[in-house]
Amino acid sequence: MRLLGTAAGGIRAQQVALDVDGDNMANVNTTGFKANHTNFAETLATEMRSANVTMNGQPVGKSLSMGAGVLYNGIGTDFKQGAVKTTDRPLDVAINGSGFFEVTTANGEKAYTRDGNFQVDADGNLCDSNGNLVTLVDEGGNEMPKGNLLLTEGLEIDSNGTVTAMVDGERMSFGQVALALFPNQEGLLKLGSNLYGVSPTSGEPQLVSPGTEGTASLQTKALEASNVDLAANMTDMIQVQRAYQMNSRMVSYGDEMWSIANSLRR
Amino acid sequence: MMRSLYSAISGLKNHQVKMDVIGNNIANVNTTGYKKSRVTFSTMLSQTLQGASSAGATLGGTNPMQVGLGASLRSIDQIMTQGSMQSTGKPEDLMIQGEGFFVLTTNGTDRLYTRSGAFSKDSAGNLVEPASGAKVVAANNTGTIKIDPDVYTSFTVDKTGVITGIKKDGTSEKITDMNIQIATFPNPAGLMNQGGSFYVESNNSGTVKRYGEGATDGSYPAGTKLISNTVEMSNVDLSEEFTDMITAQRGFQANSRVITVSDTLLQELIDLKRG
Repeated sequence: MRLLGTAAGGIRAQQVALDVDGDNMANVNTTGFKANHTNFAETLATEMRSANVTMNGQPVGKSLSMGAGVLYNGIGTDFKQGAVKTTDRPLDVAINGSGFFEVTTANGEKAYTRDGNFQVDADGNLCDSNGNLVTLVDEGGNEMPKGNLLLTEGLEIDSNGTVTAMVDGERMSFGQVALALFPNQEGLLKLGSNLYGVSPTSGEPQLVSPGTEGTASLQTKALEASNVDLAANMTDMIQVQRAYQMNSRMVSYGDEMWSIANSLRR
Repeated sequence: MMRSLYSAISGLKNHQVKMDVIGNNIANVNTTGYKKSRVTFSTMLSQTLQGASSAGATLGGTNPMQVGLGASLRSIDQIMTQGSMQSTGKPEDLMIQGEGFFVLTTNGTDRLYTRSGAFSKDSAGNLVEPASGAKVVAANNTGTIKIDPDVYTSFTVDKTGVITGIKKDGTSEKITDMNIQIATFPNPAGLMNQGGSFYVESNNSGTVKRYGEGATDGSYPAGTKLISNTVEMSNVDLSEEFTDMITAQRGFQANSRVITVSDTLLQELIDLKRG
């Protein structure tokens, strides 16, 4: 009875698809969120009759093979641009184009995010709202020291990512918010809290200046909204639900057929 | 049980908090000196079904396969932008144009900060916050503002916070040591909300700077001035709040759909086994 296993595999796969849809829906208003989608693949097929069978020198016919159902073979992330929503906060920054902000987490590791909801803490660090330090670089591309915004006022970030602030009534530059680009951004690991981490397939990040030729520009007093498309996600969910239902029907039919076979001999 | 069910619950909870914050903003649409808040969300941890693999000699690498487990609250930020001014014609009403806060005290030693400058005078001539009776702290940070009713009939406040009293005989004089203090913080959004339009220092607001004539950090910083006979209105923008409310409502609705669909799937599973 292959049917039961095939249908159970289908149920499992559709379950993962619904989990991914549910996660998208939960993050419909998460800053900088990128929607995920499930990819399916067929499983290996069993060959019921080989193509090379001959009888009395005559070929018997084409090969006969039967599939064994479906596998989820990938959860892809759709990195298309989310809507840029203006806010009034001077330290909100949205990336218009590709790339990620680089931050350093509490354990000293680098992480990457599209969420530009920044703040300056009491120690003069530019950080995200979880307190992860945002990487600022000088003109030579070297990282600025920690706490370099101490005793400054009126912090502003321009579209090139240059951070300026008032010191004794004069506006001075305090480095630039760098953007990290990856050879394969779909390969990034999702770390939670809007952060991504480097994985073996993502490749190493390359820090670039925003606003120069060929790179994304920044928009201040704005945040990037989630790129989840509610309509698409909702129809996807209907499809998943129906496919799930169909697979569960197959289990019932399989059960019924088996019961018939069992009752052949009383 | 299903991951989608719990993702959706996290989504519902978050959107409820978003609604709460919007509700509070709208409730304070006419509160003097009120600064609006906004909520941001972040992703929760993801469950890794299959890790990433790097490219081999003949095969390319594969991307990781991860299912997200929903959303969580990331921040509730206070938006410290300037509110518009409302002229009242009442000399005790003050408004800060630019950065900073009025400083109040309830017992002489504690310090409360507020943007709401709708003050009034008590019988002893103290300039007080009318709801709580907290006194306004002077620029020297030791005394509080008091305009002696036996000496002065009225007073005016100029844009640098200096108070001029008008005597009974019609002559006027500058009242010494009675200048309004304005305090600034490196991270004003880090202040704690205390209710009654008051803020108190937190360990992320940074070191306070005190401005005004006779204050430790000198006269008001560039771009900050005091305007009398006016109050600062709330910086809540109703059109923005209402669009946010639509977003919150629709987001909530979408998540509740995920719960009903997850429920039908579970029902489907239960129906698999009859008898």
